[in-house]
Amino acid sequence: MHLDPPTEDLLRREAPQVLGALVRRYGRFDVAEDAVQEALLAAARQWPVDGIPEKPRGWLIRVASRAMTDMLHSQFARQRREEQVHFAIPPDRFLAPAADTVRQPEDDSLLLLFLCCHPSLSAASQVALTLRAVGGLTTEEIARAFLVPAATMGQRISRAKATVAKSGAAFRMPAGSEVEARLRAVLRVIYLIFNEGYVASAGAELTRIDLSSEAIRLARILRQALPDDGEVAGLAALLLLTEARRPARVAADGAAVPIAEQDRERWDRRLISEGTALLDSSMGVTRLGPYQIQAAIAALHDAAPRPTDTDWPQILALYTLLQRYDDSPMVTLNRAVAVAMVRGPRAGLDQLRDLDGLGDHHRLHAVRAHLLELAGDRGAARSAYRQAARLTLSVPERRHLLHRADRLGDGTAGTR
Amino acid sequence: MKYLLLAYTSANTWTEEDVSAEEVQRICDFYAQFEKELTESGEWVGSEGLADPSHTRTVRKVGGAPVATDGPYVEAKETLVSFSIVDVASYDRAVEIAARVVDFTGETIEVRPVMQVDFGGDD
Repeated sequence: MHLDPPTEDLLRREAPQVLGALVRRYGRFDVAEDAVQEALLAAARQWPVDGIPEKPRGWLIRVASRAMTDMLHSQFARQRREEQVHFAIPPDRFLAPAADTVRQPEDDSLLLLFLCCHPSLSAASQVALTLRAVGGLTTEEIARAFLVPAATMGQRISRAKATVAKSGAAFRMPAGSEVEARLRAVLRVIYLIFNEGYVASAGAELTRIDLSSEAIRLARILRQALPDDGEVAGLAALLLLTEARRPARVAADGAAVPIAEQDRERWDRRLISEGTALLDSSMGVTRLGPYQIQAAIAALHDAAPRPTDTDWPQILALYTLLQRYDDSPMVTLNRAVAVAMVRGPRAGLDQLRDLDGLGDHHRLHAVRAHLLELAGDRGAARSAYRQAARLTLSVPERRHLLHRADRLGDGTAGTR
Repeated sequence: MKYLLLAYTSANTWTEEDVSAEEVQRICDFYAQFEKELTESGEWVGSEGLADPSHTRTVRKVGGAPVATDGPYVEAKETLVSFSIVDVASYDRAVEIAARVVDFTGETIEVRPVMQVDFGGDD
């Protein structure tokens, strides 16, 4: 291809979007990719002669859709359909409207999400397949986001597709009793994608696709598909309310900034209003669930103009409620912080005694350090911060914990 | 989660004359297969074998300035012979992968978690 760089960039930017549109429309990854390649070649041939069309994406989707339809109807594709059942499409789907008609994401995306979160797949495979099929990211982009070689990610995705095919999953909604379990898996995958992308250190990470935005986009798609589900709304709200704090999460030197010390002026008010409105509309309408509760906690944090304005009694009540759905040590740990804020640091420290299950988890030591600091026990707090810094696997968190330790002591350099 | 697998071998294996070309070939073939399988399972990040320890140079600060000298940092009975990085679902899976190599080569492998640039969970 001899294209000028802007055109090449344009094609590179549009390719995943076009692929996403096609996959959402036809559900056949393998064929869709071939079709998108054909459309890109056609663009490379025609655009230098005829100029770039007014709506390049629409042009690409139209050409790719035509190619895709040809492929699906060809003898070759029929044979392949008989040989490989993955992402099989019922015949009536060929009567679907053209892929380039503007429309709301509909059941296609939901079906794809459910298919990508098939129980026979590991969490890592579910995440990769979801980003590929529903997010429309390229294998290279996903590989970059997870810092693994493209070949490895390509294999991860191929294997995931093969696994789904082997399990005999058709391109349709799971049966009644399965829907709930599958939806929980979808929510978890979107949450995992968000967490993976909730990266604070800019500079070194600029090459990573913004997975948090991607997760929010997926959550919105899911919300449009299932507008009456409280937990779907809860997850979307939780992501928005958490993302809102991102600009304040990292100090100039790259260290983590805890919520109590963040510059609240830098929180994104637009995201906070959107998340809060979404949460309010779902509360009390449908049955309550863990994502709504976590979103409610995030909303209370975001609603406080100053840390001292935080409604800790309400947050404590919500954590107590959350424990009914999720009695993991992490929830107990967060609840202990709320206990400390309501009843004092010693009461919080008492709560930590029951957390032997966490063993040497850094978060346990970090919370203990924080509560010891609040209780005025500087020496013990300092060694607990240092212990947490030794145990964490996160670079920015380690720096933050060492800062805390140094603030309490004589400021000697951190140990490795 | 990413893990670094550090394979050690006894320092004199490198120089012992009873290490045959066939043996070296056998190990190379094993590693090629190992890499292929892990790529196919979507778990491989990278892997390299290291040159004979006699090629080692050590850079250290002497009198306030860095100085390079020939030879290893510490004279040890064990020397680092290769390293791999895998991206796997659990620590146990990383150990399982290491065990396969250990079973074949008889070498000892250290498995160490790689630090992440991301924050942990909660603010």
